[in-house]
Amino acid sequence: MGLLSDPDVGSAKWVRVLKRVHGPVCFLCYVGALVWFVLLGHRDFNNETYFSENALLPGLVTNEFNAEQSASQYYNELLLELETKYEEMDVMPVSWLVGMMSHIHLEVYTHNFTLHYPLGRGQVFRGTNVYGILRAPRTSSLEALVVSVPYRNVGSHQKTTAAGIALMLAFAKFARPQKYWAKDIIFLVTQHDQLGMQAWLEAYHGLHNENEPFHASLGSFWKPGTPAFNMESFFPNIPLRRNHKKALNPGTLKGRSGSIQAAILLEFSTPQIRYIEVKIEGLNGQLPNLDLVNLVHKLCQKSGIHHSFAKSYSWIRGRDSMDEWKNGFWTMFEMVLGQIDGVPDGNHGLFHRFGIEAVTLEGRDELDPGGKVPRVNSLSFCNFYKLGIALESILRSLNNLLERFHQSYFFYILASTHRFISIGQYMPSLCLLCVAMLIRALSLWVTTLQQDGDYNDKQTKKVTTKSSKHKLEKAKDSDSEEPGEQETQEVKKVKTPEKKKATINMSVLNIGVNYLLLHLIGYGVMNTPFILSYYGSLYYNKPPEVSVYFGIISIAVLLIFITPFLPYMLRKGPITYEELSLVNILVLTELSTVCLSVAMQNFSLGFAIAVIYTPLALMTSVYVKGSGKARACVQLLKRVWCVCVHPLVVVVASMVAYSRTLVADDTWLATLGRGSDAAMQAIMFSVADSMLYGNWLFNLTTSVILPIWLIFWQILNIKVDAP
Amino acid sequence: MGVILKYVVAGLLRYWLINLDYWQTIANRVEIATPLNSWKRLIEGVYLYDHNINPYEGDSFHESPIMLVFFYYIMKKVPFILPVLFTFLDLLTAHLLYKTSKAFIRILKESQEKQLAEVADESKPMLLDDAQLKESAEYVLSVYLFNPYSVLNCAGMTTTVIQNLLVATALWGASSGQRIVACVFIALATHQALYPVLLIVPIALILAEVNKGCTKCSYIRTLLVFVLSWGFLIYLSAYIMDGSYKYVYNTYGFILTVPDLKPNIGLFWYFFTEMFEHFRVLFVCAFQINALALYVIPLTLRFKKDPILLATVLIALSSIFRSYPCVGDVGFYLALLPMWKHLFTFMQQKFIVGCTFIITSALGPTVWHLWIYSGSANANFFFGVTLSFATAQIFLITDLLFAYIKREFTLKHGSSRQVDGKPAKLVLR
Repeated sequence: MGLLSDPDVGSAKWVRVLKRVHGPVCFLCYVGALVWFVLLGHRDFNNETYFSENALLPGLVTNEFNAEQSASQYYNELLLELETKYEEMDVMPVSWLVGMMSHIHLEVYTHNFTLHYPLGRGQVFRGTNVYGILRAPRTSSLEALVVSVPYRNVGSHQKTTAAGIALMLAFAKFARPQKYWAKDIIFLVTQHDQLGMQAWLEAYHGLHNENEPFHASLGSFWKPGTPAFNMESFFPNIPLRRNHKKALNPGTLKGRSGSIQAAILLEFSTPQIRYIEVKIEGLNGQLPNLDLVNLVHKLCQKSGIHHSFAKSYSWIRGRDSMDEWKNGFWTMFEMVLGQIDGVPDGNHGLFHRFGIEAVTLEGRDELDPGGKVPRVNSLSFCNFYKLGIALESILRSLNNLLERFHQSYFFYILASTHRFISIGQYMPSLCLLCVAMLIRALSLWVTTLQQDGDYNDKQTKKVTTKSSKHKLEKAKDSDSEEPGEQETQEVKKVKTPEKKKATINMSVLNIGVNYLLLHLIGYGVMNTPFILSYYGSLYYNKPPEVSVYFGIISIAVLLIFITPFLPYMLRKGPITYEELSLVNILVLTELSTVCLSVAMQNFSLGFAIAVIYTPLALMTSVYVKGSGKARACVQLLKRVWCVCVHPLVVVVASMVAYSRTLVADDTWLATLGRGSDAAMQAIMFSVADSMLYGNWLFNLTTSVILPIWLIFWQILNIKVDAP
Repeated sequence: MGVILKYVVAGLLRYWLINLDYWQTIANRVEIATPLNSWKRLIEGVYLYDHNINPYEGDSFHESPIMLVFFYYIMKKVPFILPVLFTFLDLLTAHLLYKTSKAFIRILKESQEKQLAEVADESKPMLLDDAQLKESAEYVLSVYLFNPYSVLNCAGMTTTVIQNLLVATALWGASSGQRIVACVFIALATHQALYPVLLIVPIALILAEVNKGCTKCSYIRTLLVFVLSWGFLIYLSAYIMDGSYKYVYNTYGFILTVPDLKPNIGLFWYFFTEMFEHFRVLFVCAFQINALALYVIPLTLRFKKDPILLATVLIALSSIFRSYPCVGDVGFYLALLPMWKHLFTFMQQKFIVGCTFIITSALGPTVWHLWIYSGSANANFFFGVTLSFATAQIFLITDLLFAYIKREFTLKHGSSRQVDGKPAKLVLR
């Protein structure tokens, strides 16, 4: 209560201090955040991984896997089958798989799904998944584990997964007669990579995304035929909505098991791999429980298989602590980079959304596209026996689970295969960035208020003269948007200016409408790809990625030119200093809120947004007319910087940088062209991912980050009279 | 013209949200719908009633029988007007609040004139003038119409819409001196959600102030009318349920004993899930005393002269501490705050409270998603956010009260805060 009722809290002293030091403090916060982040790679700032879930009992069983012969047999048969029958075709050897699975006496089912591609001309893709269920002898199919291999045909640009399928079948053959299974095991082969996986998961969980309108909730009280409100009936000719509910038709499953506890995905092209890469990043940056990741690393190690995670290799040890720090940082950095886009790096990523812990084991050899792997040639080759042992130990360990994974960490960054950084350790770096923005907002808040006359009761001393009456009114009015701030902008929308008096230089209406309008623009941009690709293919006969890319570029350019004039269109008089400061405070608060909320879900994305936009947020200030040449130059520089961090510019720049790292010896022009093409693809992928899988990156960027950027752009481009 | 435009825009916004495809998502949010007020449960109750099953025998329906019958007839006869009805009722609430705040401001003005003699000369400019007062009524209207909390509450079609209407009508009745209206409607609101029973105190004070005359007689009369109408409503409900009083266990009993621990924005659920069962009675009593009785007497003694502030604060406190709060309650008392616009100058925690409101409103749904859908966060995350939301609200209320005291002091003694030549410290007591 002391904090609440102490009148000295609002005293002018700390306000003065704050006004003087907020610049350096914000800068320190920013630098501190980055330093903290870099430090996280160091041993002293992260922890050794450990098992929280005792029920897992990793590696306690005696391995019995003995089906390596049948694995080789399956492998050769499958290769032969593919070469003779399926070489040219983009279909899966369904009959072969069904035959083999039935032969092992699994319950075999096939699952058909259809995709109506939501963009462009509406192509239709069809696919089939095959799965076999091993019913647990000890329980009644209440829980299940999944072992899955994505099928890739020979002609695809990715490595095939023939060895993975063979290993899975051999393991199924080995596991079928065992009596110890307490959970069903579902052996699943999916087609079209993530698409098939998504379709199978949706079908398994009976997901139908039909959002029901109000009258559906009335049930039998609603008489059919009663008129209901329908937006589409107003615009019959324009395809307003993306029918992404219908885009992927997951079909139905004929056979089901219990709730899935965990899933292991295998991607092996040959048994002669050098090491296994454990992939964990999922949709929207979601991660599997750390216990599962530990389990996999631990059991790979126990089975004598070399394993790695994001450039952290189990067979490489740092020479000294500096070396370890460097390695730890790069592993961490690579993981963060991979998480930003929220695209899963394997089929396991789609399980996370359903609360299922899943990882992918990818077999790699020395010819890996990810770059040069140190000392990889000295590693011995793996074989089906070792892989089978590893898979057996993992599944038998998972078989021991008594309840869902709930211990250990869900939010972490790995600094190597055996070290991790928990949420409590990495959050401070993000919080420092958000605090920097909030300090800036607070200092603007007190500055604006003080210029109005009375910030706190000590200054009410001044309220004795006649002229100060006006000041007080001003202050009161500037206070009046305080509830407005709590209740967001909509409140302000309709506060009509007529009732304002001439002495009051604050029109909540205009800035509120402006603020809201920019967010609506962002929402509109989010919905454009469908319309753009529709008209692009209708009138210009362009593929959807081209029409979406150039459509979005032209919208962005248009917005850059229009938005600074937007506030003028909504009003008669000039914009005042107080109004613009208020907008600045609001947008700072919004940005820090957004960063925090996003980082709760996907730390990497939130951190990236914060790192990119905090400098802009901190340097944005209201420009007063006639502040001299130097200020004008600075303002110009700020504008240039603002353009540099436009979301679209950031995307293109990062793609150019990325293609530069891939193909280094190229002219800059060629790199630029390649980067632009990559950006086109990236935007298209993010649009498609948001429609098919529910990736949030595109929606977030267009409906939240873009409006925030536009507001900063407005603040930088509007000149106001001195207060 | 401007006012009508506001109503139209706000009405269209609400109506559009109800007819959105995402309506179910809105209506099922834990922040919006609680076991007490959710549309889903209302439908369930009406359905059971329609099939001649007593809805109070199960554990799904907790509305009062009067509401049950009301919605039963609407759903039977004219189900398609429900979206319009809810929109209309919410707009009516806004209108009544607008009227109320106008009347309240008149009362404020009168009391200011009464105290004019005590005001120090240098504080004279701080007195309220007509334009300012008129403005704040407009703000009340805007805030209720466009506050996302109220908008979402109406879009979710919770019965809190009705409760807000009842409370607003009662306040309006009190402010215009109509004892019967005020008492009957506060009895209706009490019958529905119990916590509005607190408001009988400020309403009695306001009625006594508006209807000049014998104060004590006025108090007694108000109380009498209230008790009689409440009793009548209880009887009427029993009559509807064929003379059985069993519904009391599933309405008042449900509110008081908090058996359903579904998470909401309040403070009860987490505490009672964590607690050992044999302490339950003790803590239920403690929590309910905190929500129902603790603040009434001290606040009444301190703010006797300003029953309107008392009403605002009691509404706010009971919505923070009640067993099943929802954002509709928060939206309702936030709409009353602009009446105290002249106190905002004296408030110190505006920035903190504002930021916390924004941040918690965004973080709450995020951590809920992580907890329920992703399975990666847990209950503590969500509770942490709701706890800071509640703290922000408490800061807001305390700050408001303290600002009132500061203003009172400044009016009386001028702005130099000196007692016997030494700087003095104001304490909220």
